[in-house]
Amino acid sequence: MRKIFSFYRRFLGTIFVLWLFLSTAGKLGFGFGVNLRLFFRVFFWFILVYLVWETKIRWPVIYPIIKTLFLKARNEFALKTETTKKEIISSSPKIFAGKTVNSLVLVLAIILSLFSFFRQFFKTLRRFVRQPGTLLMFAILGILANIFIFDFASTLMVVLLSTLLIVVIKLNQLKGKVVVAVGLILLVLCPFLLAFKTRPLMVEKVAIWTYVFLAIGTGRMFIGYLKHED
Amino acid sequence: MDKYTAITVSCLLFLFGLFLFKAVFLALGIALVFLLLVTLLEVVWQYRESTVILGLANLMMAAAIALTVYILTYLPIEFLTTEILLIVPKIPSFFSLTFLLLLVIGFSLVNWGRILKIRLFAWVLVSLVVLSGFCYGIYRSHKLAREYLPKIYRISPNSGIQAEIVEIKGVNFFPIWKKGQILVGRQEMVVKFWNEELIKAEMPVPGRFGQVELWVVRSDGVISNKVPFEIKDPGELKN
Repeated sequence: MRKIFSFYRRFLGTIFVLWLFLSTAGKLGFGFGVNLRLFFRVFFWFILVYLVWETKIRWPVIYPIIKTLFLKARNEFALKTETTKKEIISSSPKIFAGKTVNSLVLVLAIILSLFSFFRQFFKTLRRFVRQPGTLLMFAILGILANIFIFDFASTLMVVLLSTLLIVVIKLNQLKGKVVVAVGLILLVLCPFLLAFKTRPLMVEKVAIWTYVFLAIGTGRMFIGYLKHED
Repeated sequence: MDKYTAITVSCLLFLFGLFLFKAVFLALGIALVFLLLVTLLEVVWQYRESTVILGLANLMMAAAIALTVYILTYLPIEFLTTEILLIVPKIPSFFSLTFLLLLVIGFSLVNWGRILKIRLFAWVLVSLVVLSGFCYGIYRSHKLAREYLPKIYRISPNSGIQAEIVEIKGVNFFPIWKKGQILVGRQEMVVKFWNEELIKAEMPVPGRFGQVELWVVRSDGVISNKVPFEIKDPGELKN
């Protein structure tokens, strides 16, 4: 079974490489008579099968982790609800007593605990999003989506993404050389996209981002040079 | 590759690209791609013994060989079926995908790292890849040249008498407002219905009977493939 799974993983990897190649070739105007949408759909189903299979194989490892996490979350939630309930009872007038009121307080405590839980969740999420690496990923995905997915050119989007890019470069302490190199890669892409007559808007957007990367990279190198001079 | 050699080769490539394409941007692109590839190859070569690179190389080899075999087998068959023999306008897309996936299954089983160590196999594979490149080039140029030509795939019935309606199924006949002509033998048929993929035409009073050819002349003067058609003599028809 392990051997079959290992082979399946290799098969999936090969399909992915092939899909990547065929899509890139398709973007450049080279067709191979393969319906790429259907190919991706098939690949997606293979991925789902892989995920189910992997989960099944690693279930003895995954199950205790899920169980521990679930138990931890449940205990914390119960503790929090209990504490909140006690706090509500202690801070409310003595009239609030009896079974019905007690149940109402429990419901209120649960709502408050849920609210607190979600607040904590969003706080963690915000902390994760604000990390330089995550922001870099967002910036890269945003630029790629702007070039290859969106069928419109938005100046506002370019300005916002450029601002995000500058912030990300500053936070990650990326060298000017690296940024210029990305700009050069995009510059290499431009003539090919032009030559193979793909969507003109895409070429235009690649050219815009080439300029943005080259400008930011040169600026950063210049600042570095000035600092070094001082 | 040595730094100075890489720069010299990229300059030569730039000049070659300039000579070949007569476009500065394209020539610059070729030179930059070369430099990028050289850098990439140097990095890969540095970490050539790592499992990640070896695994990736195996996957890429399997994908490349699957695509090579696909180009050498499926594409000629597809071209023959859709463009030369004109059996169908298009082969259903799941055929090509199924064939490609079967090839991937087959080639994923092979350990390419071990095979490529045998020099003979390595050369055979390289030759196959080069051959498939040529094959694809020929396929693409011919496919593009024939893509927009009018093509008749089927006529029904393939024999008829005077005033009989003949249905012609095919592609690229142009829309109704760019109607062309249907010729049977050398006589023009009366067009009753016309669209991109279907024409219905009425047989004229025949000048002669027997086996003739039927073809479409599009409004821009481009003619389709000729299909055999039999004009029957009404006097010889039996009840």
